[in-house]
Amino acid sequence: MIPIPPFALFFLGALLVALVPKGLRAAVMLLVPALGLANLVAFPSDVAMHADLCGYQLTLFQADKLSFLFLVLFHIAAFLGGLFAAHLPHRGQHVAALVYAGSALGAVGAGDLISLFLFWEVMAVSSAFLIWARKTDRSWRAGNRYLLWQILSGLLLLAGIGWHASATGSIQLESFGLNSPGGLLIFLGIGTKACFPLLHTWLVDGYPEATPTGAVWLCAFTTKAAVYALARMFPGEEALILLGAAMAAFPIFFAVIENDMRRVLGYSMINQIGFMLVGIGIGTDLAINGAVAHAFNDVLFKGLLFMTMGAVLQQTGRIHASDLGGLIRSMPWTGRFCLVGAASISAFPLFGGFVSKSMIMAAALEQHLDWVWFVLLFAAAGVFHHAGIKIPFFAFFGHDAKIEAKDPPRNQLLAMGLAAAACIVIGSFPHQTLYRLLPLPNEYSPYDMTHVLSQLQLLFFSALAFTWLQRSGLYPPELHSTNLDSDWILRRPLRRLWTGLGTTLVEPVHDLRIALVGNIKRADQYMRTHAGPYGVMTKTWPTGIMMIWVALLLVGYLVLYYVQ
Amino acid sequence: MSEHEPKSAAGEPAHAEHDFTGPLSPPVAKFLRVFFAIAALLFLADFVVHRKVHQPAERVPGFYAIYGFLGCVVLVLVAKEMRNLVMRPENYYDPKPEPEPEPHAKASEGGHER
Repeated sequence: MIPIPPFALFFLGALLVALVPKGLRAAVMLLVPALGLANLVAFPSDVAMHADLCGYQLTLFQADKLSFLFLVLFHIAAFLGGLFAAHLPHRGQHVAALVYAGSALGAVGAGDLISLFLFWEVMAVSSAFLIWARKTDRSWRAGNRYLLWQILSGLLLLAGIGWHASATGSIQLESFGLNSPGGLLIFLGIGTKACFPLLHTWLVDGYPEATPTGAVWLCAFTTKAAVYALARMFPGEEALILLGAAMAAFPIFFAVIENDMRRVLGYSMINQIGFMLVGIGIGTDLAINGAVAHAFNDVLFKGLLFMTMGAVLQQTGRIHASDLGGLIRSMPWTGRFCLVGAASISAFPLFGGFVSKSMIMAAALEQHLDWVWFVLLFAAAGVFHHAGIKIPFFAFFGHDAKIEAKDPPRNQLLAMGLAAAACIVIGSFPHQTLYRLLPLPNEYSPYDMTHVLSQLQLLFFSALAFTWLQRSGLYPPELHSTNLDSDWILRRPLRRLWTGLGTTLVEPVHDLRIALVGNIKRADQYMRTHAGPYGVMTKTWPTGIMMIWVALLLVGYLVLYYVQ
Repeated sequence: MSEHEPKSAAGEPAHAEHDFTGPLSPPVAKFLRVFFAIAALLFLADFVVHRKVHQPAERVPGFYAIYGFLGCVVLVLVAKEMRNLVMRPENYYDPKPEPEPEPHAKASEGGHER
């Protein structure tokens, strides 16, 4: 079999989905990732694909152990996303999803900065369609804002690459520091996609507005590709510890008061990426392994949670905690899968998150970063609180909203079931599954008495806090509201400043325009009179007149000749 | 819980029997009793199990339990106060009301008809 680079297979698949009749689309959606995974496993490790562009040699695809883990992960995510969306006839969404997944695979397999940038941009544009596909006014505007942020990320990355390439002449993917402006710009470009604090709002703004199936795709690729890029180019960068700790802590406050369940998941996603960034920032073997292992698990359990909430939205038309409740009776399977996802994200023993989150925390203690450990422990308790309990409690239990609904179609249940099974298998048998994919030597073992007991104590007493706060009425009620995040600065004061500047400048600009146009018209008039088609100097004369003048000249010449 | 609102989303009166602050139905009460018992056992386990200590704070008996409980209480109470600062009406950014689709209309979300 000729090895095909993964992105090419997905782009071909996208083309095929666009061309085949409705009935075959689902088959293509599922076959592409399945074939892709087989192709990837059979891919000879020493083959790289090259291309030339403007004198630079691009490496469009290569794989080492770090990128291999992400490539496998993205194939699995694409398969689950495809299965979850398989019952839909929508050609546009399917094409966008496959192009999106393909470009994420391309970004992970890219062997140089320019290829990375190219796939980075395709990823930005194709993913926006999954938000627009909701076809509401709100999603249209959210998609536009999302795209602007993604383009900002691409521009920062491009500027960084340009600076770096002109300073060093190299476009190799290597470890950059933050000392050079090029490195710093690349860091911020990737950081925008990795949801650095203040650059994070596109995620919690955009993802909740996507279609129920689109959000499942979205949550898998963009941020994880950024995590991969940071692990590749900035391992051991200390700034990441600080940024990651901040990201692990601040979103959980928003998650507690947020009413839109998918937005809660968005905040919880930033919190999980925070854990990964801390791992990359610490930079030891254990920490990096923990970061990428957690990225792997996060795609599975966050994908699962987004699927369950997507199913709730699709089947009931509601997504706000205050409008939901008691769905376990009408959507029992969705509810059970949601509980598995919740247990995994909360790092319950035997579930996915347990075997990866603890690697990062152990690495923090090993490096004597005690304050980071305390922050992460707080964040771990908070995750359980807002994602582990709040999501299933308000949707499936709690107050019974008496909604008539039923479980989603079989393909969606199967996708959720597979993701849930993966969470349990990885959580229960990490050495046989996930740990074999880890890029660096690994000796960590999550299952010992101390660790299991500590985690159970942490989780049970977080749950106890939830129970007590609920029973005593101290828990803030779920309310329909907008919670301002840092993008308020862009969307209110700066926007008002911009429109304000517009209105104050309207009159002078208008006057200037009148004056300019008037003067240009006068100049035009002048030119027309004197040099236009009827101008004295430039009008065209009949040939006869020229003949007369020539004749006169000749006569004059003759006369002068004879007079002399 | 949503009972703090006078009306549920469907416009019916709030269901007081599901209010988590009120008396509990027998299965829920039983579930909670089991849950409290496990939590108590987990707390007591700290006095029995010999723990590998990586961080001095872990020597405090019940450290994880206390940290988890207090962490979550602080989290929720701070978040509750945060509402004073950041909470705005739902249509804050889009004052123009959008026609809300019927809650039960299946085809409403991006045309996901089945």
